[in-house]
Amino acid sequence: MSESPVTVQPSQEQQPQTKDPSAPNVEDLYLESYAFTTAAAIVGSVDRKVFVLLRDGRNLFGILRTFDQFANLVLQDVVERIYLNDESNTPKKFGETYKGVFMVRGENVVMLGELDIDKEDDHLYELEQIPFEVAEKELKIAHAKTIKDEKIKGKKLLEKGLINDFVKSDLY
Amino acid sequence: MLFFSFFKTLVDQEVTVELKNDIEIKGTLKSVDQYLNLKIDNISTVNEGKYPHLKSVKTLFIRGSTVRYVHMSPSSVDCTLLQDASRREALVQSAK
Amino acid sequence: MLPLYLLTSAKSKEILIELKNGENLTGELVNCDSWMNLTLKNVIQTSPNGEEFLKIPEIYVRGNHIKYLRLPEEIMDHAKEQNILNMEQRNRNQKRRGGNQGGNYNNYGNNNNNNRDRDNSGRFGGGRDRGHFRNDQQQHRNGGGRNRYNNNNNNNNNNNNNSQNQNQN
Repeated sequence: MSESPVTVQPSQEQQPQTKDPSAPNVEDLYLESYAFTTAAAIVGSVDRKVFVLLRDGRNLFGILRTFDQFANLVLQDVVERIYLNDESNTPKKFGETYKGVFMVRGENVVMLGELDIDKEDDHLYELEQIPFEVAEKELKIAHAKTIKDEKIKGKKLLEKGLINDFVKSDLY
Repeated sequence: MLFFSFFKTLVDQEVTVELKNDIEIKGTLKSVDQYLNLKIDNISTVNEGKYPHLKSVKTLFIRGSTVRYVHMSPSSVDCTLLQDASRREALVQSAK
Repeated sequence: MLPLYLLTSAKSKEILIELKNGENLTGELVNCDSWMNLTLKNVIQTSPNGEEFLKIPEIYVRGNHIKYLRLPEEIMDHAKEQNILNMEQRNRNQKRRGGNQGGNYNNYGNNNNNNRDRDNSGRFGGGRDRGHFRNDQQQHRNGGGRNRYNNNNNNNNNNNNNSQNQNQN
């Protein structure tokens, strides 16, 4: 810095002049672009009860505590719930268990929904509750069946020169 | 970035999002980001019986990578504008 | 508080990791980095079908193979405490910084700082509810005090700045 003390004085007086007209604009611009970020989309659900669907088909219900730009999520008081479908693919039974604190890596999230806590249990009255371990076993069988079916489907499609876009880890 | 801008013009309009797992979700598009993650308000699932737990969901954040289609009203799409924009984008790309 | 920062406070605690392939690892968290790569010790590995178990003294997990982590409940409380400590620290720093700067300039700077703080705590779910509210109040009080202080000592501060510049010359 080769400024003399005299030049410091005017620069300080200039500060308000340059700030006044430009500062709100910059802020507006920042806010405008911020409205279309991952963070802005999720921030409203922080500290609310949310439902998270993972790519492996897990349904997690818990309180969203924090997240980052990758949509990595931290959930507290998580309950995992398994819905078991009948032949017509509609849930008939469910099992649930308390799982505590979860930190989910963003890539494994399919969707995150904010729950209306007054209504969140309504649909459960129409379903039969079974122990979580039993539900887990039944789900494993169901998953094995989907994987088998998809494999067959994949082969058939391949014969016609088409590709079945299915990976074993995508069971949502 | 073209589709990001395009989706931004759809904000506050009614859309139906079809996911790769065949769920169809209808609602008001509230936000979109650069990965085309979507935030949808006042959702209703087309096949409600299949996903009863979505009945109590008010707003939904959907990861862009799991979306198959987004259906929207034809009136909200300006095709000529889109064509122009894609040409312009192609020009920019080729100039690089 | 960001998820990855929360993870650092789970060090030396027992955690469970599920990998994308369904494998489970439970053990004591030794270290982690900003890509969520982890090292654990005294690990029990469970195969995806849950039928085979393996005891491993030490393991390194590449972050991108992780599906999710299950953390001990205590770390949420720990995070809350840390947050309050951080906030107090920040307030103290701000007070100190406030004393050194010139009047007008300082006013603008402070406004910006206030905004930024509020934004951060909102966006990352940092200082929420009670914490957030209190933080704001404190900032207002501090801000008021600072301004008065600065206005009284305006000349003084300018002198200080000048002498600093001279020193640099």
